[in-house]
Amino acid sequence: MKNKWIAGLFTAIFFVAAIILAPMVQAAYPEQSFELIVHAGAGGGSDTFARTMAFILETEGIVKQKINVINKTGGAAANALNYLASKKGDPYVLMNFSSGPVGALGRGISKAKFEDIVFLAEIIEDPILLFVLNTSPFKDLKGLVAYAKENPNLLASGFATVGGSEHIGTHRIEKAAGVQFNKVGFGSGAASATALLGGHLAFALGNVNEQMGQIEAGKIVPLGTLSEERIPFLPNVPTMREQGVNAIYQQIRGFVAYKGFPDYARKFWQDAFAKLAETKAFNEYIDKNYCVKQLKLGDAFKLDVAKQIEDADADLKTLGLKK
Amino acid sequence: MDILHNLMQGFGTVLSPYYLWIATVGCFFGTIVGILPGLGPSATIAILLPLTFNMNPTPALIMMTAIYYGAKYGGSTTSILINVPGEGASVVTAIDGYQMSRQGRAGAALGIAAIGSFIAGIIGTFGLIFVAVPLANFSLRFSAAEYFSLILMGMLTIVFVGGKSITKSLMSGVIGLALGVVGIDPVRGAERFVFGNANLVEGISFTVVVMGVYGIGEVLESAEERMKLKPVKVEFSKLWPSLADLLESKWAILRGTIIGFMVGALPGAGATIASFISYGVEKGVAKHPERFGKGAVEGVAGPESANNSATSGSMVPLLALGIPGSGATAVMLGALMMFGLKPGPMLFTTSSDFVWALIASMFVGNIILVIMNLPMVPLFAYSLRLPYKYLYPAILLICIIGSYSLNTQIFDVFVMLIFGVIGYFMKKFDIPGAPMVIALVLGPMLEYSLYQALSLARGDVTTFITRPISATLLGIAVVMAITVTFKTIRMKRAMIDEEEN
Repeated sequence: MKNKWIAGLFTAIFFVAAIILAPMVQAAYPEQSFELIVHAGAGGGSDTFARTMAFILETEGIVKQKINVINKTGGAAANALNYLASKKGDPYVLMNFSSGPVGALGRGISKAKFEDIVFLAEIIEDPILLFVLNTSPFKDLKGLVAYAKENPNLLASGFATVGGSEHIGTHRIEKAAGVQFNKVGFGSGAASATALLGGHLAFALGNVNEQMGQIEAGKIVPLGTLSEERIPFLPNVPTMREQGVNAIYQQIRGFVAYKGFPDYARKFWQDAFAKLAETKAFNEYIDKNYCVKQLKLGDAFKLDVAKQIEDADADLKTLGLKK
Repeated sequence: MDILHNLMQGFGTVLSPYYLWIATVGCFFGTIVGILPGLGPSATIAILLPLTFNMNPTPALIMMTAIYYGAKYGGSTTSILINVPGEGASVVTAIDGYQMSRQGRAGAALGIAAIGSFIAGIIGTFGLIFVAVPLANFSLRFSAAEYFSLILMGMLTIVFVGGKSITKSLMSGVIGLALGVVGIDPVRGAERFVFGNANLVEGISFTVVVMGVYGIGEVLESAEERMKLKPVKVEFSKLWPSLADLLESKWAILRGTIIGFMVGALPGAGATIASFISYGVEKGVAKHPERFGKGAVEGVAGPESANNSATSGSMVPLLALGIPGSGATAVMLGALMMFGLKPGPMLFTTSSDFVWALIASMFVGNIILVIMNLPMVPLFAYSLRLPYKYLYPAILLICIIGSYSLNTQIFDVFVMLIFGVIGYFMKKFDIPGAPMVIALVLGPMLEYSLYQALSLARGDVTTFITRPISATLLGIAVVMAITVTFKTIRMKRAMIDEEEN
């Protein structure tokens, strides 16, 4: 009899202590270093972005623990997503999120599903533009489209990865303008840009930051951007939509976690990313890399991605990349 | 002259204690990274990138470039000493380099590799200064058809690197082609032979196969011999290359340098392909090609020079056009952008101080590396006297860590071990490993260029012959093939004549 009472008393004390102490545990978060998963290899756009953001978070003191970037390449981002899924419930694991994982989720090739992803924050948009050589006979999008209408499948265009942002982007232009291009994949933005410079392509799609040097030298000319609005640092480049081709592709970059990610961790990181977006270092990065700040936390981010997946669904099926 | 003036200014910047220290640190790291199989220079540079955020762009890029070519110096060390290539560009070095090692001439091999690398590095940097812009513009004319022909040229070397039996070389090559099929097809992104395993979707990693076949396979074979092989006796006189070795290699070094620089300047083709082609060319022009595969010093001198001048070559598209020529230069491009230096045709004009300091640092870096590496040669050569019972477990450990370090996946380690077993059987049946490795690297590239070339030409097969550069390359390939075939036939005839008499 006495034992039961004493046991019960201790249990009660334990529970009360836990309830009192729990917020202290959460307040102590983070107590160990983080893992930041990147689905691409070292040196690429996603990897450099992730490493830079981690560095800024650390040096600005927003996150007082070390953030270790690990590359989990393979499987068109499926590998990284699967690894993230294996860390369910771990408050110390995050993942860099951009077109690669969006595609993987859309095609359903990973164990992680869209509903399982905890969307922390979207931070930037990396606009995609359509480029031609300065010696091109096409001076604007209208001319390009008109020629393409007369000559289906004649104009060669370059994109990076199959099913990637430029591939789907080009396809959307085709759909919107009612034309057919000869789309050729090059495996990377750099290779596609090189082919364009060499005069082997009529045009290519790509990120701004890869091409800014060439743009400033006047070697390549952007004819239009696939973003919703004009890009601040390229105010003279009209959007596709403005030019009568209703094709939009938003390439966004942000950070996510997996289901089971504790609420206190989620709140911490959303605050952290909001602070990050205000730092001088971040804004310098934006300027130097020609992207656009676009901060969307939690559900707003999730909505963006859901829409992207939905929009890309038809494209992926038409392109034969999804059954 | 403007160039001389700029170069002098560049040296002025670089020859200060801080910059020299930075260059030395980079060279040192690069050498280590090159020696250790697995982690390559591109990954290392990417990982060290955040450390450079607090530096100015000039020292940061100096360090990265130093890591880049330092790795090529170091890569040959393990190739020659223990037949485990430190990275892709050192695979062909292992063929003759390791044989030289077994003959007690490890010092000569290592020394020639270092000297060849140094000469190639210096000449390559001169090349960068004088011909960067025209070469870069020329390289833009390379489209998929030209790459296809170039890679085909590279694949012909499969027949050359195989040694005695051409049949076995071809067999090995076909196995390599088959392995290269695993992954995603370039046209539709469909999965091939992936068996639902996410790890295979990117294909079978070349580095892992190399470590397995060469490293683990070697250890397994020696273990079977129960370490009956005594450590190779290394005579003190043989710790350095002899004058004869140096003279024999001079043309190989020169040819290797030119081949490496030109191939490196092509975006997408780099040190690995350059080293294959150099080996093929050396064997093709040699008076006694049968020496290759048995410790021919040109087989080390040529490819090692090629892989070093290829690093200078790959800086050509980076500095002249802002296009990355290889994985490591892609990271450097990212770094340049982060520092606000806009890579592109204007770089030479807008950031001329930076560019010339970088070029000056490449000269200095090569000097630092040859000073670092040459004295180490006898030390490394002497290390072969280590009893195998200590050496081989160390090799196993390095390979396992190396393969895990690629993607932090245990899967890679398993693949490596499987290839270790395969490598063991290949050695037992005298099937050469190099053709398989070459085909594994070049096969997917060949397929990709074929698809691109035909896509761009909209199905017109004659595109390979109607395009002048492509036709030239194919022509060279055909000539190479015919020359070696004739030589082989003549050699076999001579052998038969001897037997009959």
